[in-house]
Amino acid sequence: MKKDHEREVLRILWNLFDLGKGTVERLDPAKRLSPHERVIMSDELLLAMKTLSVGALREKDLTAEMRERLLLFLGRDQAMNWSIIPDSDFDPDDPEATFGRGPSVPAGAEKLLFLGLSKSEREEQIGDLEEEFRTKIVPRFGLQFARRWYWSQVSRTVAWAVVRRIAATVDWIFRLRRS
Amino acid sequence: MSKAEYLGKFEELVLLALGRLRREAYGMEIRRVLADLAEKDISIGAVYTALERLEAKGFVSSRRGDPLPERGGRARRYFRLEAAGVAALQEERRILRKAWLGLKPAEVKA
Repeated sequence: MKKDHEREVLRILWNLFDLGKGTVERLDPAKRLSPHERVIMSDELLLAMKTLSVGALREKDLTAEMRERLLLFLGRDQAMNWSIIPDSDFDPDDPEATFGRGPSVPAGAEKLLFLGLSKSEREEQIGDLEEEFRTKIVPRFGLQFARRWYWSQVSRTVAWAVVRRIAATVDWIFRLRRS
Repeated sequence: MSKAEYLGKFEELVLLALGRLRREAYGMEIRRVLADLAEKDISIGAVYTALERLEAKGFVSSRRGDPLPERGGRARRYFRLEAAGVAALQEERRILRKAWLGLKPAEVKA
């Protein structure tokens, strides 16, 4: 079972990067894929890299031809979002971890969220937004939309946290005056 | 009904969302069902605030899952509807039905 899966994974990588010898049918790089097909193939590529412990594709490891093929195959957004990781983000000691990070949320928004939430709220709320961003919003709508979505969620979440804190403070002052 | 047992409108929706899921669920899953029920976008912060209050009242319970890479190594917090929560929902429904009994929506005028 695992062997079959690995063979399939290898086939995808071969198709993409000419990594194999000509025993597999190559995909036509000019073939136009629908956005839905692109997302599926993008997920397959992710799975492929993970299964084979390839880790992440580093920008410097991609030849111009590979990059062109990847862009044609996955579509510009998907290729940029999912597959090519800037050298600065690549951890050679832990490629799996680099790979697992996938597209990153806007750093400024994450920082704002971190500062706006109390320690007890951070784990689940930051985690939930990050998971939604990576697993639902980016694959469905692309990175640009996902970043806007993340900012809007962060601003609403932080605004909510501030309002709640003000309400708690007012409540505390009233109780203090009453006692 | 004491203040501790009082169920706000939003809290009621959160409990109903959990009830519809028919299993334990984490914040984003609950938020998605809630957004469908309320027909508007709801911030994740509001969902967690309501869940915290409901947990303090004993209507839901929670547990932490394992850290996940897609969450940047953070864990999910799973919420489960408790028997007290089900009872509170049934009580709310009973009161609302009683309040509407014999009254047609068109008869309610400003």
